[in-house]
Amino acid sequence: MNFFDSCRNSLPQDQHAQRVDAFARFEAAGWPTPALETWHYSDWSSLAEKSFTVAKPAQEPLFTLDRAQPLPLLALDPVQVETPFALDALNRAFAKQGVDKTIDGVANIPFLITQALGGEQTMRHLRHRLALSVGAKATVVLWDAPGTGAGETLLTAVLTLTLAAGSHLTLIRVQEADAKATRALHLKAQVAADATLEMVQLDLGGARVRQEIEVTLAEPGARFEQAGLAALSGKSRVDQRSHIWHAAPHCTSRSSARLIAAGSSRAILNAKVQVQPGAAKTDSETRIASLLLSDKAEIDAKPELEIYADDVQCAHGATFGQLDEDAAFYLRSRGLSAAEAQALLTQAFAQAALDRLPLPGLKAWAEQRVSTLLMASAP
Amino acid sequence: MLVIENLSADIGSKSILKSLSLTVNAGEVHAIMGPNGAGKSTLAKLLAGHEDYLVTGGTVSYQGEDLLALAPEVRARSGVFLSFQYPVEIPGVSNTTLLKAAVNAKLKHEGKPEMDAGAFLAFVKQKVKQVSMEPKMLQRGVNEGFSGGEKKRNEILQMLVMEPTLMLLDETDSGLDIDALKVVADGINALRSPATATVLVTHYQRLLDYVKPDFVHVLAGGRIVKSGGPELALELEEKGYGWLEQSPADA
Repeated sequence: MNFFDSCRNSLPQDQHAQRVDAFARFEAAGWPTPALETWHYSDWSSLAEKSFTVAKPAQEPLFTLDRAQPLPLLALDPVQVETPFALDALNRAFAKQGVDKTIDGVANIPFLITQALGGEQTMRHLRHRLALSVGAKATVVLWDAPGTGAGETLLTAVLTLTLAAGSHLTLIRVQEADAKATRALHLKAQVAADATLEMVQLDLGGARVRQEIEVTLAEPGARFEQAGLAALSGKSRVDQRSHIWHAAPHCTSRSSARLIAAGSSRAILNAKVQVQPGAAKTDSETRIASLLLSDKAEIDAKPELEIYADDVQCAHGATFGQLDEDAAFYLRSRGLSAAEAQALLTQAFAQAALDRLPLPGLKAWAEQRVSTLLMASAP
Repeated sequence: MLVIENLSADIGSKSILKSLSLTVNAGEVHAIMGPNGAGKSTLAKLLAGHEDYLVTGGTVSYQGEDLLALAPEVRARSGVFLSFQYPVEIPGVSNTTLLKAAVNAKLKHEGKPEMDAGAFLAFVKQKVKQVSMEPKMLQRGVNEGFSGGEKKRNEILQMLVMEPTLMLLDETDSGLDIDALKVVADGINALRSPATATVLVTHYQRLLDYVKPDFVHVLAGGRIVKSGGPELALELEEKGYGWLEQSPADA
């Protein structure tokens, strides 16, 4: 039995007609391949040969750092917004749960959304909605936990963010899926006047990971700040695409990513900034720095800039670096082995992104996690 | 402790050291002076294991072992310490991280247990005081944004923490004001003992006022052209190196 047959039989019974329709659309389009304009670097067509059953509810893993408060997964409203996500129809066909939360005022404790999946050859589809009221301020951790089983798993999620005027959301995405996990996330954010969306992303695993971020800076003074770190090893493959729309004047975007690929992993980042007509005084900067640690690893970094307005300030760049040999010799002359020196220098490269984590518990955990990962993949 | 015999080395296609011989015994301080480009820094870096240099002839033994066969980190763990002429800045690696890794690498090599966090901190704090550094600099990236003098103090701090047997100091005194120079000299003198040896590569006599050498050598054209006692440094200070720079055929 292939994916489509197994799925058709297990569609949820509520809103059945809508789900059947959504699934038919997904089946007609098929799994995304590089033939899609926005899916240039990854081919997921082999998933059609696999079969996944809907995961049964299981105990969620615990995230105990920084006293983060879990947001409950609620039953979804039947009305759903379509997104340009290539797996949107699949997600709509199966998604029954998601976080649905409006945050008012200033939240002192970070919120947590856990995306976990138990079992083997199982799948789960989530659809979240998060809104910040005028002037609200919050930190949300979106955690993709590693799976428990040894088999393959599939998880898709759509997250819609709405930031009202003057609000501030810090969204920390931690993706530490296991070596057999397929994970796809589509994040769509609308940022109103003088509101700030701050994102810190950590990608530390996953067999096949796709992340799409679409941010619209919709009104003057809107701001988007992004810091990302992908530290990949083994056969991990993480494909990220971000699209920032400067749709109003006087908006700012800052995007900084560090990509590290060891083993035979592959990191892909396509970061696009589009300045719409009329978005004067746009201030935008995109920086991607990459570090390849093995001959078999691959990194594709592509910053893009499209400007349809005058009087804007936009910068973008991508750099590829080898580890500094003088620094490596310096460390070895202090007794560190070549492998330790490489791990420490790679950690230092990653630190620029880790330093952006605002939660001390999570920061310490991530430093340790990245250090262990880099040490394990040292030659 | 250190026996260099007929050592020749190239960088790229350029011959830098030409059949250099030098013996340093435990308890001794040797100063190596000489004009720019003579090969002084090459000698220091080569002894520490820098891979840019290709040894084309000769031998170096350290405590009876073939030093050239050892990886740089093994030399360091065995007690060879190079204070760099140009210490490298390493943002993102804190001084504490480096010092801790260095100390534990050496202890492990000696078959001793690693220091626990509390003992390490107390040990390092005392050394920091010894080189008159601000303790908060320990949290900064290695040499990150340090002034020239701060970098050299940091080299001495690392040296005090690692407690080497053979200290190689590559122009650690250059560009230092008198206070920093005293810190450097005090650091060397603190580790000076009948069991340790020191090789000071320097341009100037100034440091030798604070660290009294037993021997002074002049390195020119890739080999030692003259050796003497402390008085040779004074003579060089007065006369310069011109009178010693002759073609190898004349030497």
